[in-house]
Amino acid sequence: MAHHDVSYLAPKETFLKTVMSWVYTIDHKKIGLMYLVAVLLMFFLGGVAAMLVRAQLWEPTRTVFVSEDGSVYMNPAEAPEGERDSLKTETRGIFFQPITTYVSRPAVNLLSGSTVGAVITASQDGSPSVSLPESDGQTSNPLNIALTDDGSPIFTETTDQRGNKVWELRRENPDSDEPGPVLASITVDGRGNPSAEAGSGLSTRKTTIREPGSTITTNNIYNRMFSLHGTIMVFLFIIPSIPAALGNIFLPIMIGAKDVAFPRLNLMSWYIYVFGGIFALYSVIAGGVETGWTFYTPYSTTTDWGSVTSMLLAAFILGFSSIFTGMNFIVTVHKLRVPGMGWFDMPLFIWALYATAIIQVLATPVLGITLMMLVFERMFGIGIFDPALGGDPVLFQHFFWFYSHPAVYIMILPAFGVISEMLAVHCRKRIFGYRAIAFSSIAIAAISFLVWAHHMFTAASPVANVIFSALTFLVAIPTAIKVFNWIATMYKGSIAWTTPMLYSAFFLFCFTIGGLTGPPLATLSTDIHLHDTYFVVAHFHYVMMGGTVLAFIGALHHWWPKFTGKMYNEFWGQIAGWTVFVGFNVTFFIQFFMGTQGMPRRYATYSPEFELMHKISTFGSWLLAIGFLIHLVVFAHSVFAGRKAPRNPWGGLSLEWETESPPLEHNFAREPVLTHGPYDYDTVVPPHYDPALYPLPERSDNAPSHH
Amino acid sequence: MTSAPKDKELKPWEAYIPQHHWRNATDEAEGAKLGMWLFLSTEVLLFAGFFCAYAFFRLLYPENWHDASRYYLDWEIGAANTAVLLLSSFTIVLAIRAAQQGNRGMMLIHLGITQLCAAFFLIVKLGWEYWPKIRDGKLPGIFFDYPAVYAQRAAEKAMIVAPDAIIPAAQVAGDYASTFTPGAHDHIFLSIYWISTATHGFHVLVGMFVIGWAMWKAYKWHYGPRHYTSLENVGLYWHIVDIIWIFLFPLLYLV
Amino acid sequence: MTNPHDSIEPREILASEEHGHEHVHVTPFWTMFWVFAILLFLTALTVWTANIHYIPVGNSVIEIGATLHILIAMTIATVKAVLVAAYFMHLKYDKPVNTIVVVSTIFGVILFLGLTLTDTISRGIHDRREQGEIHAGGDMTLYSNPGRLERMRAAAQGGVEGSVVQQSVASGEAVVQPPPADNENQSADH
Ligand code: HEM
Ligand SMILES: [Cu+2]
Repeated sequence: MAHHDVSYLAPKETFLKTVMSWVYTIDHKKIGLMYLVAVLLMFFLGGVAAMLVRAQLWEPTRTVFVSEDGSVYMNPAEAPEGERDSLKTETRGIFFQPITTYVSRPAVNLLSGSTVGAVITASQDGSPSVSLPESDGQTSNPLNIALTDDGSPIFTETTDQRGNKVWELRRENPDSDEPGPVLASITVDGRGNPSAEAGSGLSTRKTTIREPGSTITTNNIYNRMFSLHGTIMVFLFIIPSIPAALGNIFLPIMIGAKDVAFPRLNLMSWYIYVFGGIFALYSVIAGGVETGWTFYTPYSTTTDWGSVTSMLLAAFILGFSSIFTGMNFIVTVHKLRVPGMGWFDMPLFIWALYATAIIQVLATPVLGITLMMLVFERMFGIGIFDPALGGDPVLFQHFFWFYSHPAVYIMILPAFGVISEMLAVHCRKRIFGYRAIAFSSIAIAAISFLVWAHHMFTAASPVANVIFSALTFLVAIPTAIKVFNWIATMYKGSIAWTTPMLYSAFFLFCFTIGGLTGPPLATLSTDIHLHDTYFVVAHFHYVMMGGTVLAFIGALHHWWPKFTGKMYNEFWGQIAGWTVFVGFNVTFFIQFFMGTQGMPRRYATYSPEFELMHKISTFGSWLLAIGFLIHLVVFAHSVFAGRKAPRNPWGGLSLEWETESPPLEHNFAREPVLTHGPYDYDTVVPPHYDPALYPLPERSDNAPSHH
Repeated sequence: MTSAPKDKELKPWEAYIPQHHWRNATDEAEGAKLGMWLFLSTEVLLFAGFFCAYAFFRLLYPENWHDASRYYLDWEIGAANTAVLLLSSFTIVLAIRAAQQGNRGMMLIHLGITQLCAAFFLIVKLGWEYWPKIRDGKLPGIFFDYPAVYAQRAAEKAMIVAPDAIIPAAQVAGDYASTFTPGAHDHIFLSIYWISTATHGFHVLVGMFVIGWAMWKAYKWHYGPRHYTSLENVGLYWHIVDIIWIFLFPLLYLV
Repeated sequence: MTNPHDSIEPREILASEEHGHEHVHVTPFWTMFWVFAILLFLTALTVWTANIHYIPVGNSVIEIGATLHILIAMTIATVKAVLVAAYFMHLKYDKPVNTIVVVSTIFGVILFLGLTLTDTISRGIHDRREQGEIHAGGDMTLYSNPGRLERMRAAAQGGVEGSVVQQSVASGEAVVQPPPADNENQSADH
């Protein structure tokens, strides 16, 4: 059949058909690629928010003195003598300034000749008010409007035929007590728009008056910015990043299948993701949330700022997308492995995705119901999480972390998987401890359900704390098993320092730091001090960014030639890699010290002793951004001008290297025949690869020779 | 398949070929079923949230919880609905059996009975439970208004009885009112009652749609001894709806 | 050291001719009928046991309290659920993998409820409540403390800045304490 021989990226006969072949696709590779583009976009968005957050923290916010005309003084003494008494204080950030919203109201100018004699505006209740022009601080009354003793204009109120209120403004009549002649009459319609009918010698002109409305403080903007960063990065970027994007593309290929088990469900998962993403973006535009990504009650149930409800719904919807991907992967792994591929012949990436999928299926529904209950709480006041109604906010924390701790393993397990792949391929060496790595993935998935309350040590009961602390230490064991096995894999390997290999090494460095700072947090006595400080921020950035994101970028380079069919520029890839690595460490390492010295997280400002450290951290974030931008250029260059990629550029042994680059529509021209395992580097010369280029590692004497 | 008779003579279930990425139909059927079980597992964990909240508050306010269940809910209605759901579970099993035997008529009849049971469940739920509760202010959280409604009833009752003048009106009102003492946390009990039964009811509604869809496919001869995967999955879904009710019923209405 | 992959031979491709799944098991009518009957009986049993509060034993009675009632009801419900799952949902006749899914789900539910409630129980709220130290549901209940929100609002509006609103447990009245004179005073309290 023809379509067996065509690359999945090949355009169709017409442009419209090509577009439709993506919109209605059930091809896992196309869905994965769309996911990939979307998560990268979200990474960019979340990254911009992060840069703004760091920019805000460049210096502590300060109190300034604002005079009535809007000039700002750092010190009241700087203000001119006369203004000192009327100075107002305001908190300003280095980056975020308080935002005052303005309301515009229609108004009418009464002109005498060419100058404005008075301005009429409708006030909130519809009645008009008149303001007289000022000169030299003195109110003047050029139109001789009749005024009361305290200086406000006198109106006489009538109603016209349409029921509109009409006010008459009269000239003053100094000679008698009788009211003077009508100067102008003002009609205010039902919507509060004034119009004026002027007396003789006058004319009117429509205008608008801008008045300050509510003010959003610097701190509030800061809150919204880090919440934006957190929610986008967690729900829209990191959770789908490796599984839904790269996993979708490579899981079926690596087990020799034509597609995932339920291709339509896969497409549905993608569209649910898009739908949830639209909700999230809507919430951002409609005011954002200031609850952080954790939505802790009672703040999240009582705050009426912004669009918490729609953000909750966004996360709820995104959960379904994640669940469907997980279900699909589990069934695919069970049922669609190529004949001959036993469980222990699978690449470790598949094991990792399988373990991830278990967590996705078992944990995500609880998040769904939690967020739903929170939405009900906000909409109907059901009182389950609301202490004012007899509910319990700590219950919410249990519900939330029952999902969200396992969720951090949804984030990191796929990264573990790609690291296993990349290390074996680029070290040209059989992975050390295959079964240990495979089982530790499953062990992590299981244990991850036992430890959630370590996020609540300051809220839960002492008994629970002790149990959860002990269980938390357990999770470090399988994690460490993996790290040791990876290092053993590198030992005596013939390492090729490609960008993916570089990133694998970066991963090992950063993730180890992130992992090792977990146990101090799992220790009750230390966590009481470290909780909610920058130490935690540094910890989870070292595991999530230093772990997952670095592995993700490495994996992008590793598989880039395969799924795009183009090579990237190795030199610039590595330059970008080093920039990211250095930038990352400069940004986050210092935060461990800030945390131990008591800098709380989620604060828009800080005491001056932290200034230098925050400056260093912010400086690092610029390096990071530069690094990512270079990556972007490298990828863009590859797409438009990259060399054509061979089938097996790195000399890998798993099945994806046996198909074309980019793969065919149904992955393989015919069902692949399994002749070797994914890590048999000591016995097999990789297919479709120039053997002269392939430095086979030394064999031990008793190693069987292949064929 | 090569020597098969012309397609027109084959019923859809006889002519069924698995989707191209499956190696054979058995794998496809088993895969679909495994997928369904995974989905059911997510359903169970979703409802686990309600059960957890229920257990949590029951631990905190045991007597209040017990009394609230007696005051606000009618176990007769709950029991009737339980029986109806069990019956519908049984009939959907028989529908699958009919599919295995290639008996389209019986399949449609049993699916029809299932559908009727589901409708009965929902009508009872809406007409005999939700509607009176809404009327009486037995509502969740901040909407809970029953004590006020109750006091008003007492006053009205007193007005009716009072003209007889045998018992003073105030005493009638007092007597009536003393049969009910609101607990401090009735509103939370009702919150959990409402959100869990409404979510369950929503699942019943979805069930009616998918059973309807299965009936349509059965009518169009899509199910027969060699292929009835989606009917089986609809059945699995329906059973989980039943199982969840099996737990909700005693917890809310009885204990 | 032998290579585990040397022995791999492509498995024979399963009979690709086969296009329908042959069912080993046609659902037996009477088995299902009896399961249904048992389920109905168990439902009746649940209702019946829920209304028994005392069992006479000789001269004395055994009281069935709330906890016991829950245990009984949940045991019966579990038996019912197992029956439905095993027979109606075919788990008994299916491949074990589906049962594994169910078991891990139940494992998840038990963990979720079990560990959350461990925290709840050990918080000691009810112990203190039983001793009358705090009102039902903590001291935060609208219904047991009808005026609480109003009092807090009043204190927030009219009270001195920094004053502490406290709820006297005994009288249920709000006591507004003046702000502490200075920090030393405050720390002396603790
Ligand atoms: C090596 C084992 C690990 C241990 C023992 C551990 C322990 C902890 C503890 C106790 C906390 C709570 C700190 C506090 O709030 O006071 C925490 C926070 C956190 N951890 Fe880990 N962790 C480990 C690995 C990971 C991994 C692999 C990830 C994700 C990829 C991760 C992501 C997070 C996140 C996101 C938070 C903060 C959540 C928040 O409050 O916003 N951790 N960790
Ligand atoms: Cu955690």
